[in-house]
Amino acid sequence: MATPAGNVSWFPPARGITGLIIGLGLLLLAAGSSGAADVTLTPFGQSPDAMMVKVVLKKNGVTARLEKMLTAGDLKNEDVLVVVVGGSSKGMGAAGINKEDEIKRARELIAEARNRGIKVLVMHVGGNGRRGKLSDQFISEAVPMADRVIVVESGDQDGLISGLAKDNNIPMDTAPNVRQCDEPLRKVFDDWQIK
Amino acid sequence: MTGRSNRTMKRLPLIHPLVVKPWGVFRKLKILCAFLAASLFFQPSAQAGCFHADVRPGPGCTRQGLVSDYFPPLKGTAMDTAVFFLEGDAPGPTALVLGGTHANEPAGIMAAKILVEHGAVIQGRLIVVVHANPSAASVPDTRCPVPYRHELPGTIGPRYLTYGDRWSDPLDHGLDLQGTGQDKQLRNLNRVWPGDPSGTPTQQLAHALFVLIRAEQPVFLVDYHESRTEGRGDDRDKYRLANSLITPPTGIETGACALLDMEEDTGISLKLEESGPAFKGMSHWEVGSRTGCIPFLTESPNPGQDDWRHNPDVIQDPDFPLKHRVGIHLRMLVHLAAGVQGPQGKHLILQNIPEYRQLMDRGVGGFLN
Repeated sequence: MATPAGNVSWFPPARGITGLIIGLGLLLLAAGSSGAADVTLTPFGQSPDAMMVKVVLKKNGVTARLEKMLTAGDLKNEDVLVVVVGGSSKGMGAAGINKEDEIKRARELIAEARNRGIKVLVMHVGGNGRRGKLSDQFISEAVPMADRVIVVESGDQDGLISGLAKDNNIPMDTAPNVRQCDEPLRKVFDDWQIK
Repeated sequence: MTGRSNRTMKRLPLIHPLVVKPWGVFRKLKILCAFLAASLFFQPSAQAGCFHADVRPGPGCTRQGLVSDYFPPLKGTAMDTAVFFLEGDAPGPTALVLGGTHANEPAGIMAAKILVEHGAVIQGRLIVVVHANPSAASVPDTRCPVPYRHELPGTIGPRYLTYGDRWSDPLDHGLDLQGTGQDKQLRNLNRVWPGDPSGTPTQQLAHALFVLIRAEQPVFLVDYHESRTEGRGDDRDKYRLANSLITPPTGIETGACALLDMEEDTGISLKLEESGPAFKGMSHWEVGSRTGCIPFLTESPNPGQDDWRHNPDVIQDPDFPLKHRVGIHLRMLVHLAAGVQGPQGKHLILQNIPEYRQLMDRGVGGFLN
């Protein structure tokens, strides 16, 4: 329908109580979206584990942006950057990068995030199956640059991740499996006062 | 009953036209003599033959066909295999399950068998191929010395698990009696997707399965596999497939949701792996990139594939028993079915699929007829 200004309205005629309800609904929606945590996820090592974390966040009401090849220049005004560590040679092959490229990207990205005051959460959720030479290199790079670390327990049976966290005075939380990462995630977000 | 001794039922195999030239009569006789000699002296090959699968469909199985229904040249050959349909009363999406793509990965075969013998569908349709490569199931494993036949206690008597090979029987390719003269990958069903109607028998089998997918239009496919339980030492990075779910980008989010549900249901954590163009010839890439079907490939840990083990027990291994591995495949199917939406937003709804705990209590045989 045509509005007084001559533009086309997206909405059918809304009068009286119906209009009031719609207006209030829109206001509430806008208020809700503006208050949501702004979270961006990226894998470090190009494994799909970042998608697992995205789904955990989604199940807990947090909508996160997942960018496989997020660079320092892509950062916006996020509250949190979640770096999910886990090496996948096939994933890196698909992205057309090698190990050195991936390390460079992560170093620059995390450094820029810290410069901007964006909280950096490093997660390893792939368990023992996502450990090995390749993943261990990424873990050794990422953990010392984190503000917080969350690890699925079976991924730290040898104490590599907890040792790195301890040496660098970085608080670390654990979870028995990926699904139960929701609790440490909630704790970290609460500690950072991010809703 | 496997019926492996009945060689007379086996028709002449399909011959790859590029490899075998037209023969003269004398040459045919020579080949025949060589074939007979090989049958006598090479024991694994001597056991080759039409593979008669012991599948006893339950009430949930509404009809049965053959893969050759989709590609008639396979009819009567050692590559032909049964296709089972479990159809619900309510309309809904179709899914396809492949067991035995590699016949030395028995958990997938037994999971598919339980679906046919014990499972049912309430909404939608489940198509199950228990032995996707019957030729590979007709010969013993050539990689690890695992016995060919294993007895399982069934509900009304013993059932038998056949532990076959990764590759189709060379004899079914009509040449290369010792399996050395032809690229093994052309006998590996999960390296030749989407198949070739004029290729090797294994390529033709892949083609038939691909025609099936095009004809029946499943919204998702689950290809059941097994791999080494773990890598050791320097091999640790090399063998990382066990306990994983592999799917192309179209299935990644659904796969992630299913894996979280799997953790909640069974306490088992699997890794998510993304397929891509580097996986040429494999179901999880070729099916997804060529059809509307989302492919998933599940990998359970099979001690029979660990080359560092002596006398692996593929049934009762204390860490990786068959029932645990079958549970991985069956429960993954349930959670994928709950996650993949078909037309009109409907899901495939399955019935009588054993819970993981039930499988651990009663064993695989407890769900076979």
